[in-house]
Amino acid sequence: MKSTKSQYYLNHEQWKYTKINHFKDYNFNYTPDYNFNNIVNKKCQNNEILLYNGRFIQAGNEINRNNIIVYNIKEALNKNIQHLNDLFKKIVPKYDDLYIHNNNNYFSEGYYLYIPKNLTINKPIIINNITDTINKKTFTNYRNFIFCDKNSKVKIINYNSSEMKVCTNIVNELYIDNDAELEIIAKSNKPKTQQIYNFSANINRNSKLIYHAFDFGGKFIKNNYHINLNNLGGECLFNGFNIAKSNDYIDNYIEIFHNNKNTRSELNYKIISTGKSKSILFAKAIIKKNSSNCEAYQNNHNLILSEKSIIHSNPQLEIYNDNVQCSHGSTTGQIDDEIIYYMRTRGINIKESKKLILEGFLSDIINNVSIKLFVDNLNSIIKQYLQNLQNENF
Amino acid sequence: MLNIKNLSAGVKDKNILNNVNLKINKGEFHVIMGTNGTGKSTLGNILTGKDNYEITKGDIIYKNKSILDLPPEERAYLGIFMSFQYPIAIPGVNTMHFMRTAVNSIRKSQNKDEIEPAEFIKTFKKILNLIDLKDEFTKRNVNEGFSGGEKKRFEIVQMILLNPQLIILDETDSGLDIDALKIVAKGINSFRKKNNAFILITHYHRILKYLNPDYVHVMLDGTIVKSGGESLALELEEKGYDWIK
Repeated sequence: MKSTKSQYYLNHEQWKYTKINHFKDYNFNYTPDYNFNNIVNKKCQNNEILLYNGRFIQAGNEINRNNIIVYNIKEALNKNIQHLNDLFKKIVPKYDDLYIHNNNNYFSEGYYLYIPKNLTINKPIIINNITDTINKKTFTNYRNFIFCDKNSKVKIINYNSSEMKVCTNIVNELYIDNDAELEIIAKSNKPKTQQIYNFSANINRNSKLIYHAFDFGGKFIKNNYHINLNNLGGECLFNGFNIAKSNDYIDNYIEIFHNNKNTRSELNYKIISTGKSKSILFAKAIIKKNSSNCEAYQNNHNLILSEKSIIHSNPQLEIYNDNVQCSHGSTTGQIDDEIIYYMRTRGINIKESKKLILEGFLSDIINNVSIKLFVDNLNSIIKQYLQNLQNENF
Repeated sequence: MLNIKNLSAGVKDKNILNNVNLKINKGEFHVIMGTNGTGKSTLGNILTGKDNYEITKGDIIYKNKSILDLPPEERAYLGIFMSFQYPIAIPGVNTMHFMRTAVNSIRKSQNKDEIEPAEFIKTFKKILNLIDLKDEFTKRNVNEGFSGGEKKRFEIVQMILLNPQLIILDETDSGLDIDALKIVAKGINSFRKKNNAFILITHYHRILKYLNPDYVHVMLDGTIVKSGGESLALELEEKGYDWIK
């Protein structure tokens, strides 16, 4: 079924820079045929939740041992789970959005994840989505729901990489209950993917969301993050980078609502852009009238490495209360020739100098991740990635 | 070791160096003094191969070969090093990672294997301590948040670690307090050898009493107008530059 509700999104600023005309002929109600033989022998790690084209397949032993519950989303909706009944489709923004609307109506895959009360685990839960379907001009709708119960503290690494030509329309809803903390690392590398991703979170009293978004490119990636700091002491650290090359298009819209007093948000985001790529960061912190004693900080720094690549940076603060601490800043520039000269006088050639500078540029973002093993892994991926990127003649 | 012959250079339409001649042998310590904007730092930049300068006349012969066509890194491979007047910060790049990359680049040019990480750390810390910098320096980023004195001292650490033969010290003494000056001078002296040579660019005599240079040259309007021994520096400090003009 093709959507006819194009008026849904046109007026909202999150689509300000996004060209989506080419989607008008796309089918938004597509359920691909899966060849489960492709994953029948796939062994699940102890701390892994395995998805196949968005569908929950199996969870490792440690997941079950910790009483973490994972269901296919449709299965969960049939189980009469109280918080799911109360919150499903309620965390997403209240304004009408075409893609959320389509997902609400047509989602076919996805998972429900429940983190039990008082559970603290240091070892991250790995959510690994294996994608091997090819769909042209058709969107698959994934719908995921995560509930972190009171006083839980967990970390999730979400690996989402694919070399396939796929179109996905994903909606994630997250609820973090009182005194809980969730750290999410979303690492994505989808050079041929067209994706619309809506992530919405309600953060309750004295709870914290740490979200790391690491995007290594994509044909068309539109990420919309909607974070609601709904109760006293709620906190969100949004941390991330994207490296855009060739004809990549990576478009991030991040809105953080300070809906209550004593809430805090911090955004640290960096972009490296090469080739003819286009990257967008539209970030907004909204401090409501009664939300006193809030803190909101936004930092965005970008390096533009080619004449034909484009970066739009738009950090915004909307403040309706006088008793707040806020700051925002954005810089976009090129690699400083004086730094390269300095490094060359130490025997480091231009190519190696630029690689070191770019690694250094991303280092503070990477070091915000608390999982040491992941940091090491990410550093080596970045090293290799930047090596390959240099073929783009920057 | 180094023979600068009738060198004239500048940027765009502006001539900065005019017919500079300077010969430096192994084991020698030369000092260049002169008024602000007279071309001293330009000479350092040209010796290390910085872009943006046009050589209009003359040549730079180093180890019997012209180096004019060599890029900065290849001059570093040949043993040319400059301690910068204003060392630049490299955000996010750790000092140890930076120095190990530099050391290995130079080793590679000499067909040597990469230095063992443990050996490198040991050597790096030893040199840091010699220049009165703590081990924690290995965890900091290059020149990021360094005080003026720390920047200058880290330049000397780099010099010792990279083991060059021709060292240009561009106002390494400026901005240092008396104690830091002594430490930097100690570092420089520890590195003086029979097979290397120094060019120190400075405005003041105060560091020279620790270094005992062989020659002092005066550069005015892009030309070396007078040369002498250490006493020339004292004379300049007393009388200024007008008597030479």
